[in-house]
Amino acid sequence: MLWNGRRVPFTLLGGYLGAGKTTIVNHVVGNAGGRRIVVLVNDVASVNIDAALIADHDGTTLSLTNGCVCCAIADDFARTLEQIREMPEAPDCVLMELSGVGEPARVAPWANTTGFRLDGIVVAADADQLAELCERPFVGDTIGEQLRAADLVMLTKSDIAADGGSAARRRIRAVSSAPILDVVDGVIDVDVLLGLSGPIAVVGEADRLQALPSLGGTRPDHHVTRLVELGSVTRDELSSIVDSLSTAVIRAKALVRCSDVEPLMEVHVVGTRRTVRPRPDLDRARAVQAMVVITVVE
Amino acid sequence: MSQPGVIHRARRVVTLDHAVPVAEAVAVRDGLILGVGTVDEMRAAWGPLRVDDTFADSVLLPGFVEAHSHSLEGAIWAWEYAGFFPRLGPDGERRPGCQSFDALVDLLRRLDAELDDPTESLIVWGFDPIYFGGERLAARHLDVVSSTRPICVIHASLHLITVNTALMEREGFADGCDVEGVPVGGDGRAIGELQEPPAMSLARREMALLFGQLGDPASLRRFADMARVVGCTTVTELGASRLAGDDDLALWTEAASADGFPARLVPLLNPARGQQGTPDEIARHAVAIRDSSTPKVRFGLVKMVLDGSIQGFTARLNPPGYLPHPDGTERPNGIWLIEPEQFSAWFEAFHRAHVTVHTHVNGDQAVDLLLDTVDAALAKHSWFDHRHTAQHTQLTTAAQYRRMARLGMNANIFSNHIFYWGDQHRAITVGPDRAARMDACATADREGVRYSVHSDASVTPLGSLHTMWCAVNRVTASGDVLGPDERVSVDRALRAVTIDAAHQLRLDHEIGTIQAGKLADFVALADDPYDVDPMVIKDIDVIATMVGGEITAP
Ligand SMILES: [Zn+2]
Repeated sequence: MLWNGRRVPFTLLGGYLGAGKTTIVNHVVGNAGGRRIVVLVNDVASVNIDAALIADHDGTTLSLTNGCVCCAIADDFARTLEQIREMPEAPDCVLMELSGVGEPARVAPWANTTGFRLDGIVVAADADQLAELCERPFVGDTIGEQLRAADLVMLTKSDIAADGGSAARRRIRAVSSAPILDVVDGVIDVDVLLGLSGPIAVVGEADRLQALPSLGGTRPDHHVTRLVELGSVTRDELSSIVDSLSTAVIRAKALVRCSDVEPLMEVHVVGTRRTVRPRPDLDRARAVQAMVVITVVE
Repeated sequence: MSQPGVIHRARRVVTLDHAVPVAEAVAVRDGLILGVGTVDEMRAAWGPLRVDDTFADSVLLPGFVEAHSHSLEGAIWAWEYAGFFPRLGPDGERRPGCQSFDALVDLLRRLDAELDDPTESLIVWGFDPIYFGGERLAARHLDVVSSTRPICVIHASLHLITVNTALMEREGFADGCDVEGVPVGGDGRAIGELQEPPAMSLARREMALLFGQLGDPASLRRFADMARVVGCTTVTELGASRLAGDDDLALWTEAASADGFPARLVPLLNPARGQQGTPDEIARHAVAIRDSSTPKVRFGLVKMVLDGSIQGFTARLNPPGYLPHPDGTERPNGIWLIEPEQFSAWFEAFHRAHVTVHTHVNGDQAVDLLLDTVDAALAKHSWFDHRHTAQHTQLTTAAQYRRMARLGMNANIFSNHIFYWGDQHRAITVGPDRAARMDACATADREGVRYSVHSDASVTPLGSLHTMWCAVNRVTASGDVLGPDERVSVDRALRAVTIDAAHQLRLDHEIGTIQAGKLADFVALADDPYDVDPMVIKDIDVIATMVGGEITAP
């Protein structure tokens, strides 16, 4: 079985031309901290020479040609994913930068195929341009569809937007309740974009939280990480706790022993994407009756 | 001047040259046409040439030119056909097709017995159960053929496959999985249907085999054989194949260099397929690779894709857009495959370098973007004979054809859609009024746009007689006539699949009519399309083709 059944988290990064996707990707690969990240770039376009700009890093950068991801037999995309599956060791994660007109909702099924698990859909939006772009002929509705699909929105360039990005925020809020993170110059905690990494089983003690770099730490002006104690819960109780998390939650993760079901339950939250699923493959001793939660400071 | 030359006497030579529209014979030497006329006229003019009567009972026409096809048509014939309609294969044999599950199982049993290696996958394609009365093909139907050999049935749409239990067990999803497009039965187990490409990718080995075929020279040979069987002497690959490095070009030129290779190939370069560099660099590359052309392979044109398909609801439409879902909910507009900024950057670079660009535009909104882009490019750089071509143009309006005419553009109209999806367009995608003016050849004529008609093989089967039959009759699969006012004459349709197709490929000085000085590329038909009932044009037998004066043989 491929990678012993491991499914690599697969993050989609969408947004129109100029939204700052490449800057974000570059920051992430430059601060990967030993993670083996496969970066997929669905754009070899020259007005946006992303693939060339993305710096060398420990993982792999694969270029995808345009044109096929959403339709036809999608041979390029299928072949590229097959190239990743042929790696002897699973990478830690896959980050795919979509083209400017890529619609994440239509690409998402690919991120949940053999060897991969859709982690989340992140959409970058230019604080200065978004309101105008949404009105543009030909592509205005496409940008709306991208935002609608977002689990998490990264609002870029609010430092240069005349109104500080308030018009852009209104546009986003018109179609999406996803948390909005301000991202300047692509600086984003890697854990926020790619998920909390590292062995979650050691995350039991609140006082160790600040010391764990893999938890992204806390930037009080931007986002805070905290631990939510769960105690003894049933599966339904766990689900309702997860569903009732505030819309400011960017990410949350937990491995929990529920009182009424045998397998461990995994909590996985990326903004508005919230899943609780059984993990019978994991040792019950790894459970921690607490949930790590990152919340945006708006 | 090595060969002595030969006069081909025919029942009739239909030249499509207005000066000499019909003749008794055509004289050929060194792959070129010496002249057309009577045998006596040819001998008086060119000396005592030998008279060949191979086609004495046939009608000779210019070889058909398919200006929008894909080499996948050849790749897929690596496996057997299992579709509903009988179909000719590249070997010239007619496959009866599968009109029932039992017929499919019989075919699979026969193919299973022919395979030696018990682990080798058994793949068939083209399966089309929409006429079977509702029952879905499932793994259990295929398991009776083999419980050990992986079996994969590719449906006609290419968006769906059905696999057997052995295959699902090999990939570990027989008990179901969380991948979108993998339906399960009442017992929670996968039923064997894999819907849409992401789910289809679960059949890892079989999909890899399919994609592997695209880079195999044997696929190009089968593509050209398929062309021969249906009477095409020139076929195109509209940008699905990568033409970046020397190896990519050599795949084409080496395959076509074989003695007696049965068709000319015109692969178009798609800048979105593996091309690196600035728009100007890619445009220079598009010009440079013309030097790699051979008598049988012509490089130098470009293809880009702006939107998706109408039947897939992914083409970009102007208001009022697609009809709603049956439950009344609105359908979103389709998708763009290139940003307008990127498209215009590429387009303008090709235009400046005098490279003709063919652009896939199914929906009318995509046509608007193309027209705006051509307009802007022409305002910056004047080039009168650009022949930029709008491909598919299925929902193009009269107003858009008027603009197209003023901008000096060509169209390539997807007439085969009327037969294959016309009923669905009327009922499901755009409704009766817009369906009636889809693929509007008569409108293009009225508004002065030169056009070809095409199959987009393998989206629909390669075959210019069928394609022109659609433009002439506009009959749907259910037998209705869709938009009778958009029908065109046999003469007009025949020009569309010969000289006007050659024109948009910038080859009209070499092929597309039978006249002195052009390449001796002919198709021999059992009947004259001008003489028969227009409804049987598609059924006229193709006797043979000649490419460069040589009769192509299986
Ligand atoms: Zn095509």
